[in-house]
Amino acid sequence: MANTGLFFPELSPTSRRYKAPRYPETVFQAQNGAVTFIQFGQQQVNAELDLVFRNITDEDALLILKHYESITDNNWVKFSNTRGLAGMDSDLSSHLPQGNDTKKLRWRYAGSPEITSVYPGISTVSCKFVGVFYGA
Amino acid sequence: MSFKSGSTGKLYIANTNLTSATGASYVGKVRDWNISFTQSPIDTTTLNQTDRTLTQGIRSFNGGGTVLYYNESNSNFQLLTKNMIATSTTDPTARDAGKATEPSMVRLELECGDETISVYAYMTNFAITCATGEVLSASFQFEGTSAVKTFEFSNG
Repeated sequence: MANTGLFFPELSPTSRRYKAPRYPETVFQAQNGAVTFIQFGQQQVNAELDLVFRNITDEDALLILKHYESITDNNWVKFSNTRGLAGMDSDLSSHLPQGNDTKKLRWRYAGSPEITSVYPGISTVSCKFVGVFYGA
Repeated sequence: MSFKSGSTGKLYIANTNLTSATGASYVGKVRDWNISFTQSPIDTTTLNQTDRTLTQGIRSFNGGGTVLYYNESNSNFQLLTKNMIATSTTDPTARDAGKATEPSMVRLELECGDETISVYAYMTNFAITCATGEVLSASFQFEGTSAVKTFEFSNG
């Protein structure tokens, strides 16, 4: 399936880092130090989301790996309060881009998930995502 | 049913043929021995939880004891250090200095009456004390490797 939002597995992370998106812009600085900002478009882009799932079962690690493999073509990642954004106040989580179908800022894996084995059947998985502006 | 006291305590060590059921040597003049078992659970707490959750982790054990030196063939000092301490006559400035027999694993059998704990371990410390008014003694410590071989404490 291409061009589809696919929900992240129903897992709660151990730690999470979110960096809000920014407007694409160019900054011009004159010789006297005066700065002028030229903003391009009305859509903020390049949000960042890092999730770490510490000491999860290998079955759950496999869910993440399979989800990563399913994000092909124009597919994107969708999050929710029980999928990656657990433990966050609902007002805050609803303010974050979750990859909803109606929104243009959509999540993609910024790199492949890293799986570190810590014990037989237990692994730690790190995922990085980037929020990109899907073509209007 | 009865209590056990240290007077029934014994210590055996096997320096070779570790997996053989027999062959462990009796270590004489042991003043005390101890062994401690540990399990380190792995933290599985996530962001949506208020209380820590755990899953099983690595087990380990270590221990030690004290022996009073007794001058005899195959003394307790020799038995406990045989697989740990190596001697060398190599000139310490020679090119091949710093090389001697490698330390190796031992099998320890710790007994108290009929109760037995048998483990594989590496001797990690052997501290000899020679003091006025005291007999020559040494404390030793070991770190266990692999699972415990036997752990037999009768129910009767």
